[in-house]
Amino acid sequence: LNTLEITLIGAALLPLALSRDAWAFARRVPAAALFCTLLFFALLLAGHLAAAPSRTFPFVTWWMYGLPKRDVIEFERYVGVTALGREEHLIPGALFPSLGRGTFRLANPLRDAVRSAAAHPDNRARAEALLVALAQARNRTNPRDPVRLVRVVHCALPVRDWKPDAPFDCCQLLSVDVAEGDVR
Amino acid sequence: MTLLHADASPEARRAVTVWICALWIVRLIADPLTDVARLPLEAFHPVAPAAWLPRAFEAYLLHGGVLQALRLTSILALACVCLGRYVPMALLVTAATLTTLQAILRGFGHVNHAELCMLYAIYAFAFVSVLEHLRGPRDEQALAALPLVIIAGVLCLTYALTGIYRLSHGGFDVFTSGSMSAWVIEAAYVPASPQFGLGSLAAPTYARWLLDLSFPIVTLVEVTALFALTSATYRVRIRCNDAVLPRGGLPVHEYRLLGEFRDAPVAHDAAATIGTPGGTRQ
Repeated sequence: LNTLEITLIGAALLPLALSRDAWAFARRVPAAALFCTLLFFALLLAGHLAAAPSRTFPFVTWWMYGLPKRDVIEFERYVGVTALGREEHLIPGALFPSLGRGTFRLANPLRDAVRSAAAHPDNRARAEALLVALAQARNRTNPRDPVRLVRVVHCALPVRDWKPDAPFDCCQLLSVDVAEGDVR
Repeated sequence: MTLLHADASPEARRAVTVWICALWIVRLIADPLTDVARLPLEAFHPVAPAAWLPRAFEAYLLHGGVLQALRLTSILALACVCLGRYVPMALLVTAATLTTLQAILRGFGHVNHAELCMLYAIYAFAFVSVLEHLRGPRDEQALAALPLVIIAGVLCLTYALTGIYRLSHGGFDVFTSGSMSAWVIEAAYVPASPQFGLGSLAAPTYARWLLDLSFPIVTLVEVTALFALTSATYRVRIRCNDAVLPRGGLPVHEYRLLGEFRDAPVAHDAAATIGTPGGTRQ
């Protein structure tokens, strides 16, 4: 537990604790409802402080935009090569919008899987399965020119000197074939 | 009374209930949920409470039929709430099914805050409705207003927790290292969602300066957000009344500053930046 964080949370809650209106409202609410309300907020705080959102969901840690970014952003791109030889980006958030368009719910585990596969070939199966699923999702919407190969490209982007058209380093991490009949 | 929404009328509560349930219905109808069933099972690690099930049941959670059943049950229960039929039971069912669905969707590796405030709103409506049902017909204005007070409290508290986490864990570095610009640029390149080069907005020096300057101000507003519950003056000055309606869980000020970059359904110039093998420079 971070002492500074707990102190600041206490300080932030102080105006509410000292508010006569809040106490007056609490006295008007039935005891059972007050108990449930306090329990709910206690769980919200406990979930935040536990910092283990997978175990405490739906009470999670509110830590977005909380830690400094590094000077170099490293990321992966997933390039689908079609049967006709065209190249196009496969964007996880767009292909599986249920997992949160614009969030990193699928992008982060995909990144971890391909980096793990690149470092240890034994871990390739999980990355391959995810990449094939990505290609299949794209092929369902465009079956005439299906993706037959997925290339994973690792890029490093320096943030401080960044310009929209400035070049940055990329290299291929791995590639995965997508079989013709490989459609779920 | 200056406690935010403490004087809310039953009509106001009803309007907010219908609004939030309608938002959920639209979200569920528009969501191609069963596509998730096509992802490999080995990448699926459900979070609590779905994670409490035995491992053998996890495959069933990702079954298209189960996802569809959860979705249809949620929509039906939400529709009942909107129509005012079987409200306490429908809200309990909604709370259970939506929590399960959200736990499944977060089972692919990244637990984030999206949709959570809307889920908490359902919890608030559910337990207050059940208590009202158990207590029988009484004219209790405070109990009727309680869900709106809770929702406002959740929004303000989650703002405050976000800002406090940034101060206590990120320290000064998070404000002095150009992190805000970096997040905007990252959102333009990392393929979480389609982009249309909006990161280029962060390119000019003055834009970066403005972004970095705004960050501590936004954080200050977040840290002090709980004042909005009890201080009418604060609400007028900071316009925290904007935060009363949930917007998918994103703190409103961050949504305004960053959300347009991060969430816009757009795409970066793909053709110009597709990487080539062998460490070539683009």
